[in-house]
Amino acid sequence: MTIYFTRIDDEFSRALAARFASRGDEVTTDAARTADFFIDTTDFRDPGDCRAAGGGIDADAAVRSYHENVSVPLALLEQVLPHMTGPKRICFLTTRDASVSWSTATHGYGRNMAKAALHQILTIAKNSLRAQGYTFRLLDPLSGELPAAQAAAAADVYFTRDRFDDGPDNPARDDENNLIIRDALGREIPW
Amino acid sequence: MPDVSPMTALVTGADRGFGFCIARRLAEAGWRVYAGRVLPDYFLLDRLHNEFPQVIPLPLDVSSTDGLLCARETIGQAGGRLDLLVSNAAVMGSDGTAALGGEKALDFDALERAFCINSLAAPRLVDSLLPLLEASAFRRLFFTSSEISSIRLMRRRGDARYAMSKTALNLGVRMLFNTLRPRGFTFRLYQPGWMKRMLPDGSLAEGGEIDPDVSAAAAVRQILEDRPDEDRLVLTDLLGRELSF
Repeated sequence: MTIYFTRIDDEFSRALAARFASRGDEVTTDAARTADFFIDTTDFRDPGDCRAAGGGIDADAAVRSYHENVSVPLALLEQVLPHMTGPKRICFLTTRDASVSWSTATHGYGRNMAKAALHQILTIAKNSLRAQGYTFRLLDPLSGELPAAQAAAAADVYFTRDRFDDGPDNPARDDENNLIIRDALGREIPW
Repeated sequence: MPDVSPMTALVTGADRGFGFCIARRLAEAGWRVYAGRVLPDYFLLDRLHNEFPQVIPLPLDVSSTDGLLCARETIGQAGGRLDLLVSNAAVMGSDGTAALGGEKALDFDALERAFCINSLAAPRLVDSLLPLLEASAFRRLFFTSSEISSIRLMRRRGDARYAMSKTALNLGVRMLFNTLRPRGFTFRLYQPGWMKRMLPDGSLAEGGEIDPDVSAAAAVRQILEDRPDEDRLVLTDLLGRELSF
């Protein structure tokens, strides 16, 4: 299989790419190639996007965060989509800080709001593309909490398993038509 | 001496429609209202000012740093206290058939512009006005969201721009809540419904389902009433029903 990465420039993305490569999959950052998987590993944090309300929210930093976390990956996805084959799996990294229900974040407005916007457009994309066979994954790698290698192993399992198993209590969740967020420990994060 | 100055609000996006109707209803209730204006072809606020002199039209582009500073200075000089912020300004508009994988590509400039105005401006407003808001005991923050901000309820297959911007707004409000609820602020996150557009003469266009004044009346009720549980951030509609995020 061919695995497209938007970027391989940190410990997590290198560890995840290495796991695919070790199985003989081809890893690429060339958006013009045919790909089975699209994996966005962007988690852009602008140094200026660090202030809580009352501390002087830096609008330019927030807009840069939106650009890097939303516009750039989506533009790359638009390039890759027509060439996708196989499981046509679209995988994005996110964070529970972007969960409207759960976030406890007080700073990082640009990054977190951008990721929330990403949740919405991926839901809309799932609604339109699912019928064409595309499948979707959203993962919080718990960066900063788990070692990158452990998070990459969890991402590998979550991204490559065709159907995920929520156990007998919640069979409806074992469904490609149902886009949800999971973290690297397998927990579901509400929107 | 006790502070006997009237309760004071800032309503952004008050040129017309929902924002205008909220400004008018607050004025009718005796509030001093700074009414943010940005549309050059709407003069309804001037008429409202003639009827209620305590309505003060205020040029305010919420995406402009200078605009935010000017608003803070104007309100600060007039009394130094802001009891209520109604963050309502938004750029509407559909991107039609644009969709990931669709024939029409996404317009990323438009996405980022919608983010600046519909999403980021709200926390920036609060950030800028916080000293004035903290001078009030009321400390209430109101944000105009939308039903299509709800990911759980989303059924669209395209036209993502406005929905994305309002989902991002909800997250920004959550972050404000995390910081400011412990400091006594209370929050209203409101889905006003699909409202009829208000024309420059104050009449309503054909499209839409709800008279903006009907939705504004419900919003003002929710603004003025305390809730039994202010420690939960909820998105409500004009009937007070909760929508899931």
